Amino acid sequence: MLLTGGSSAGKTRCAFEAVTALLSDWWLVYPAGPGGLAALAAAPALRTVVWLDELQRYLDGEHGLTGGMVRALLNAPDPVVIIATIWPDRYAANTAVPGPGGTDPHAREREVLDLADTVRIDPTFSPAEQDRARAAAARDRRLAVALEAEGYGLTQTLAAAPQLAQRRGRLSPWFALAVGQEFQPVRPELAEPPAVADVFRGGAQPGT
Amino acid sequence: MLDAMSGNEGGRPARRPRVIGRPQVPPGPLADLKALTYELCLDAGAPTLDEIAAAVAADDKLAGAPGRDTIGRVIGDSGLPTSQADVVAVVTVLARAARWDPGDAAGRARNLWGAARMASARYPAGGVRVGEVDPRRQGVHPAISVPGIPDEVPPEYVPRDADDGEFGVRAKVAAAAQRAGSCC
Repeated sequence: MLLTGGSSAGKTRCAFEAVTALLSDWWLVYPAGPGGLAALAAAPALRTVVWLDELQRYLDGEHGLTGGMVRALLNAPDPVVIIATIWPDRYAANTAVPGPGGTDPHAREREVLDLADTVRIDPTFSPAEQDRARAAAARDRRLAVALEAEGYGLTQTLAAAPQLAQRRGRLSPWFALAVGQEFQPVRPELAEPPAVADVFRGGAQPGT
Repeated sequence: MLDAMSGNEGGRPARRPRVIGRPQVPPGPLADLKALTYELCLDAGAPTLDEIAAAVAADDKLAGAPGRDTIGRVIGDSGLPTSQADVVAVVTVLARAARWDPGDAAGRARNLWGAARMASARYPAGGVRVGEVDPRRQGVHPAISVPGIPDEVPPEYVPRDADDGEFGVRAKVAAAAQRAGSCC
């Protein structure tokens, strides 16, 4: 089960709410990295949710997650459900099929991602979602504040994404590209694009 | 006594096979389950595995339909039977033959199997019950701070359109949980 969506789109919260609603008596394991996942695949446990928030952290590197490890977990005698999240740009980069005769540097990653059942979490709220947010805002002042804010979506404001971006001085089209969101400048003086490498080094925050 | 356990077809004197050996199991719910099954087996007249299998096969209402090899493991093996339904099926037919209360025996077997299952479960290292996890530790962003609301309390969840529906997150999680472990 893979949820794709930009930073602060709400995909991690969405997944969290789903597993707590449906699998509250299961065990949840949040492996520190691919090594922990390999150990779990070698000795799967009883009714376990394997939580892979920011899946790219498990895919990257020479010893990253493999299709074999995923199958070992899913085929275990005791039930295992894998819940993962990933940004759309990372998903696209890792699932791109090489052209004829070209090298295929992401074959392993693509095999893993192709095993997933994917749901996209929209970074913006639909009218129905906004109605629900307004109703909830009557009970939670933070939602009211987020609804009143301009320039960012509700989940991004709720997660303080604008402050994160402005604190780092990287609120730019490149940042928006990196987090998979439409660029909406709040402060025009911050619209100067930094180097792409800077964006991926520190401009965007993992999570949600 | 179940006819299927008579073991005396054609009027010939039947040679009673040896009684299945009692498994040696450390104290606990599994030992209690094995003791229950074994005692029932003796009270039922120590039927053969084929006789028990025939009695199980003759009852379509039983949830489990173990064959003779599985029945042998349920009674004589020291391990936890894989299927609770198989255990209940064996216990039910044995209880009828032993003139015990089949419902009571089945209920005891069901509970003991569940307890033994929990006792033998392999809990994942570092695992936390889903219902007890902290969303912040699972990667959910901290929310903006607003006076009067503790930061550690997550904002009320606003249900997303992607949550529900045939292809929604919850339907897919439920389907994944149902598929999990059922493939083997």
